[in-house]
Amino acid sequence: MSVKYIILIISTLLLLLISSLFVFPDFIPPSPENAMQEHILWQFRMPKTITALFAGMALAVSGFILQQLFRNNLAGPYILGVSSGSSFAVGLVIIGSSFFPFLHSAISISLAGFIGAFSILLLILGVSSRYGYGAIILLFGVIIGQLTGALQGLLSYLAIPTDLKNFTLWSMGSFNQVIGIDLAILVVTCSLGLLWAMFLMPSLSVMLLGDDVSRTLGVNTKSISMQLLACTGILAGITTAYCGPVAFIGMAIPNAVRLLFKTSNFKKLLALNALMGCCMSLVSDIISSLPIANINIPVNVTTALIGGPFIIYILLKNRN
Amino acid sequence: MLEIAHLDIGRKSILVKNVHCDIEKGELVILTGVNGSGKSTLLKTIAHLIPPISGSILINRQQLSRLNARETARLIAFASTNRINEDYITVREMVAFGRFPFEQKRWNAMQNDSRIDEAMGLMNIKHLGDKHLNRISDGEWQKANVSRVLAQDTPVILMDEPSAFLDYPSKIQLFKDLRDIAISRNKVIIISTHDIELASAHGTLFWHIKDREFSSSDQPIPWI
Repeated sequence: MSVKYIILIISTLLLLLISSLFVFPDFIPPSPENAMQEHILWQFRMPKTITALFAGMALAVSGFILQQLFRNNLAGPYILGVSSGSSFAVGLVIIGSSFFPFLHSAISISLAGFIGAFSILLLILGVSSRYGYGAIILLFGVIIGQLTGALQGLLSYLAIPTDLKNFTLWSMGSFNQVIGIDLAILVVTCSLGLLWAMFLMPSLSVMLLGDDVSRTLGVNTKSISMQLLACTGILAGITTAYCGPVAFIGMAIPNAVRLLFKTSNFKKLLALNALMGCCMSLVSDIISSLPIANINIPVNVTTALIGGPFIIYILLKNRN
Repeated sequence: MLEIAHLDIGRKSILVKNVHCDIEKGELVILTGVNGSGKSTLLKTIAHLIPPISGSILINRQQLSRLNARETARLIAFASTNRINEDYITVREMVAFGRFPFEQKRWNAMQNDSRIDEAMGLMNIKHLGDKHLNRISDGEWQKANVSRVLAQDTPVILMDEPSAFLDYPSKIQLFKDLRDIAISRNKVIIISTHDIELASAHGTLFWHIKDREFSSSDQPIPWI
């Protein structure tokens, strides 16, 4: 049964990869016929597809880790406040750049997103080392989210119109325009984060049995939890920095994987989350790239349209 | 095998004073005492989950406080009273986690250890192997819980009320099996229980906690 699903997921992913590179929004043959097509393929579609691939992977995996760690199927980089920390820092840079022109560059936006996510994470690490890493962390994350949201509102109020538009566009999420050194940073950081996460999976699976029992099975639960939080911060932080706060992938994919595969082999679950995360971000990106009524739908709108109803379904199903 | 000296236990204030023992051969130790007397705290202190207020615990001449989590897990197994209700972990996978301290990284190798089937066979739950943990009864959970620590196969095994939720025939079987395992495989198995009669019949060593005092005897301790 599960082998059938794995084959299905991998072939879907391959199909989506081909579609994203060569088919949507219009057909380009794998060997481009003119310079224009070649330019679009290598300078635009290839980086976009790679970005979507790694962003989807990173978000789904960090969502999976957070849901396991906090035993809450609704946890994700969003709930923990990691994404909102990132958004606020980026807002600060985009809107502040009118007053301080030296702030205005692509790298400073990326850096701000990363630093924002990371500082929220350090705060959470601090709180969890003092008060434990249970429900209080979720509550803390939600409040941080509200707080940075309010500050963001204030920023938008103060901002001049063009900056506001830039920031609003970033916050709608996009896999476009991550190229060159930025793309390399994204790929390398995500790969390292995923490797680290893979390494921690056996211990995380034992933690299903509760704190006491997993400690007597030789798991240093405190250290593993901290490492997992750091891992999540890296994955979600880097993705948010480059692609904006992409919603729903981190929350929906781990639930979908749990519906299809019931196993305590977390290495396998992590790999499946990564694969399905790729699929969801590629689908969202393909839909977003289609010119519908002459506008491109932002990625966050597509992920919400796919992910939202699914999350509601999960919630209602768990009620029974 | 298990030496405990001048052990005072408790979370903040002393709950039980001067716990002591020097066990050299296989024993089924029965731990009794009224609710709240400190049975679970004692088990958790020996399992290295709660630090002792003072005193020392040695297993095979090794000071427990000097060992790391994994080294400790190869010497002591602990079964808690908390039930786990995860819907995507099977009974067999849970029992297999008993092998985790010995086989950390390779999930498949961990699943294939012969001790897993042996432990499940002993508790008569082989037929439940593929069931998920939220689909079994409390009694079946308890048997899986006991199988998991038996699969861990450590010299010292601690179980907090392993006979709770079991039907009467299963209780008798459990006490018999634990005694057999303790004596034939030379293990120290310490269990807390309220099944006094069965425990008296099958235990080989008796610990009792009353009014913060610890006592130990090779005869059942009358405690009412």
